[in-house]
Amino acid sequence: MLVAPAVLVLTGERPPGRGFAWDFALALGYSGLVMTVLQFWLTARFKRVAAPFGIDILYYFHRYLAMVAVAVLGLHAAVLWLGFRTAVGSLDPRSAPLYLTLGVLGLLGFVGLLASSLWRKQLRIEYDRWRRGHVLLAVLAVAASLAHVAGAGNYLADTGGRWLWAILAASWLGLVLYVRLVRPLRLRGRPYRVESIVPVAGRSWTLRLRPQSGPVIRYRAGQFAWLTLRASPLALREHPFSFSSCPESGDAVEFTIKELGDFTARIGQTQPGEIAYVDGPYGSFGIDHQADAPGYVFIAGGVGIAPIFSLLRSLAARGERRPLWVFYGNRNWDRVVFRDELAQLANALDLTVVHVLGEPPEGWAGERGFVTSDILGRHLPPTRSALHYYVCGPTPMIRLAEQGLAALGVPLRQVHSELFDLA
Amino acid sequence: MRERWAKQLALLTGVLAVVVSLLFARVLNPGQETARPETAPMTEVSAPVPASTVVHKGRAVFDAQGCARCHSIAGQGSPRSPLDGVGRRYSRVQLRQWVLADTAVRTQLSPRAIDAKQAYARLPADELDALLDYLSSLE
Repeated sequence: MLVAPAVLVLTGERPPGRGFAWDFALALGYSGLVMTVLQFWLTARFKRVAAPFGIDILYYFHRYLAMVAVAVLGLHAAVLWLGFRTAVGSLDPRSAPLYLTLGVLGLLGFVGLLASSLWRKQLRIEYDRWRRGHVLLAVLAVAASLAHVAGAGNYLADTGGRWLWAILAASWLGLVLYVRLVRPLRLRGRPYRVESIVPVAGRSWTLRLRPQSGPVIRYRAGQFAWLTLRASPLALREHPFSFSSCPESGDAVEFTIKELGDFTARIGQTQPGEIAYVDGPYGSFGIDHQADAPGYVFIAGGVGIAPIFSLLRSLAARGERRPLWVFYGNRNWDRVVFRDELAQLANALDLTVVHVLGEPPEGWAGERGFVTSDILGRHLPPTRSALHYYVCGPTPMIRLAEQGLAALGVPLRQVHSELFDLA
Repeated sequence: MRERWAKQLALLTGVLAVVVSLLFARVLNPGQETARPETAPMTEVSAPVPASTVVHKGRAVFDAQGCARCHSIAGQGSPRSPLDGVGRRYSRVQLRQWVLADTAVRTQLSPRAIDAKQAYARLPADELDALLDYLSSLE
């Protein structure tokens, strides 16, 4: 996709060269804009696109590609501005041609998108508001930029490039309509109802949802869904949560959600009977790709236990006999979500649960601090390098656990993590 | 770990974009070793300023109409369609046809160029004459 415009111009009726710097700058502009269109494909949540990598990593790629695209587009503008000031002319929108103004607005839009995303928390933009602004600004910036290119008309007049550009623009528009209109409308036809909302430890709640009609969505343990409560699926008020329920049992799904910021702060006020929408399942976190492992080790931080709890319940339901370990980091004992449930699962499975507390109570004999290589090494068997490892929690915890496992000689391809601090 | 792959893949995409753009520019401009932007990019008007006042006025029309957005003179302006030597190559009548996108030359112009030239038909006669004088002076 990135190379296509250049190849098409070069293989078609080749336009005369207009100077190295000029042609370089314009090619950068095309590449940068193609990248911004690619961004819409990355975040469209097409399961086939996401499956090989894991959708969490796709969002990371989205973030880094945004920086790259802004740099490329900035270079495009800088080369033209510094090298061809007379050709660019006045930027004053009152006298500049429309295509130039649209280009400037498009670039400003992309810079604004990047800044508001990288520093959302510092700028104190509430997540839902940011999300809607992000989608709207992205659509406007790409539309302005596509119009800028069509208006500037370089290379497009005398080659198949015009067709390529029309196809690119039409496919982008179709994608936007599908993702923001068609899919939410389809989701609206499959509502769920809140069956119960139960407090669990550590300011967390387990939300149980049952489809209003028809079967519950099919998912694998470890996966997650985008959840919408008290809003239409069209309203972009959805938030990603891991399933904490067991896919093998029941006709309902459960999510365990911690009261943190914005949306989750009011999760406890949810009432049974309320309508909810579940867009999923997504994600590749889970043990099914490593079905032959001699044993599994799970490392969780805080409410990151939710998908791991789902995996353990699923393993218990399947009558799993292989050895399992859970390393579970929390600040204090009162905040340990699923404390009793994990103890019960330890009876049904060959499961060792190692609690690691940051601020342990008096007389605590267990592990303290963070989940480090020392703690892991103390509880894992000598055959640990053959096991598979699943890590879910805050990003610093994931990094620490990955470093600890590397220090113990565990090959990194056996370490699977779920990164989900996207906001 | 996988996060690092995402970062590296994004960087690689950026490098690819720059390399493809460099190759593209190189293929279109064979034999040109280095970039050739405007020689004096910081100055707004450095094209040869003609002596005659009528021609001088023509240059003012050229600047006011933003002709440099599509045309360059002595390396100043868009390299898309250089106008150096048009006074030598074309008669005044032909120049007029080009400026106004006359039917005689229309097939050789892009739709966008024809569109951009619509406004010049509405130029006052003295300004159009001065512009043609200026273009004729470009030897």
